[in-house]
Amino acid sequence: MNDPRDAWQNQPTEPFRMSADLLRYKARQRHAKARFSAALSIALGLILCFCFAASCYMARETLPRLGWGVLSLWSLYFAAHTYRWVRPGGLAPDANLSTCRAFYRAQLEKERDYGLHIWRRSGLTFCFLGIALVFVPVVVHSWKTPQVLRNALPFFILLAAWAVAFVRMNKQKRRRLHEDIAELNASEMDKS
Amino acid sequence: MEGSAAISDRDTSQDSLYAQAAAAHGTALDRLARAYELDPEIRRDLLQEIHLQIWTSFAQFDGRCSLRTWVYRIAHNVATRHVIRQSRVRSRLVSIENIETVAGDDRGELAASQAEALQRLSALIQRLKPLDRQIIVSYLEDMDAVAIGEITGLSPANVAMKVHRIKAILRRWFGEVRFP
Repeated sequence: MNDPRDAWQNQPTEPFRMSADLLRYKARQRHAKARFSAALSIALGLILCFCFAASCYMARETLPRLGWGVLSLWSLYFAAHTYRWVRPGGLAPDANLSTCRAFYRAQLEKERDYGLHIWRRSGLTFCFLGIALVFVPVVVHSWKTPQVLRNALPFFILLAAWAVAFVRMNKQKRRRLHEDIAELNASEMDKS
Repeated sequence: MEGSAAISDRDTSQDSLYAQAAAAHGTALDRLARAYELDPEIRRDLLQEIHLQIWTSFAQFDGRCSLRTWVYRIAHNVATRHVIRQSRVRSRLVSIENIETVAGDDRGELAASQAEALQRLSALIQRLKPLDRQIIVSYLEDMDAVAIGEITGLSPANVAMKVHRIKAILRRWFGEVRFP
């Protein structure tokens, strides 16, 4: 064999070309998908906000009313912040490799930081404060009528299970992100 | 009306630039995708993504670099992102400087046929880290150090040094090779 470039350039290839219409369709599809996920987080937040606000309006006691109000405001904050932190940023299409790598690492670090400070960034403290304000009076009253407490038990079990699963998944995700960032750093050190 | 005319003009120029790029570099893009992905199904998706990104990027093409440089830069970026996202694959990649420490199959023996040579070449490329892969693929496509530098963002001197190493490695992996 004379030159590997001959082998490389003369390898069999499959003809591939996309029509302008197909390209436009794919681009539109992608935009629509990104818009949908952004709209979904906002819509979910607004629906929750509306439900909690309605409960706030209907509650008779002060503490539960305050709790529903806090939850209503939290759902708005959560939607806005999830969208802001999770939404991917833009990268120039002709950016070179080091820019791409820096962009990718910035995205990974952004996700990792969001997970690390999720209680503050997604306002979960306010969420649990709201839940406590709503349910503590119910639990206190239920000492006299244990039936109410028994009815609410499945909710508390589900809440506890969700909290455990959430913490574990968040931890796993953070570990994975740490590994990815460490690998990127290692590969950059090799490069230099 | 003026706005729609401008959009229509932009669309036409985007389409015509893409048609020009696909006609001139279509087969090279297929080879580039082969350098980054072995699985034919995933490779087809990667190639589709490369074409889509090239078409999209032509809305911002200002002619400050050649069409070839622009197309390759975007294609390499898309393919590199594809490799970087595959963390399992990424952890096994080595740089051109370290490729010699990795055991190769049938190294040093002359490849009996073009197909065998291609197989060896693919195996070598698949082991390389993205930057070195960009350089070796561009070199195999007959680009000079300046053009490779424009694509990768490295200085021509740095590229020339890497190309020198690549030639030495190819010589060891493929036996005596005549380089111009």
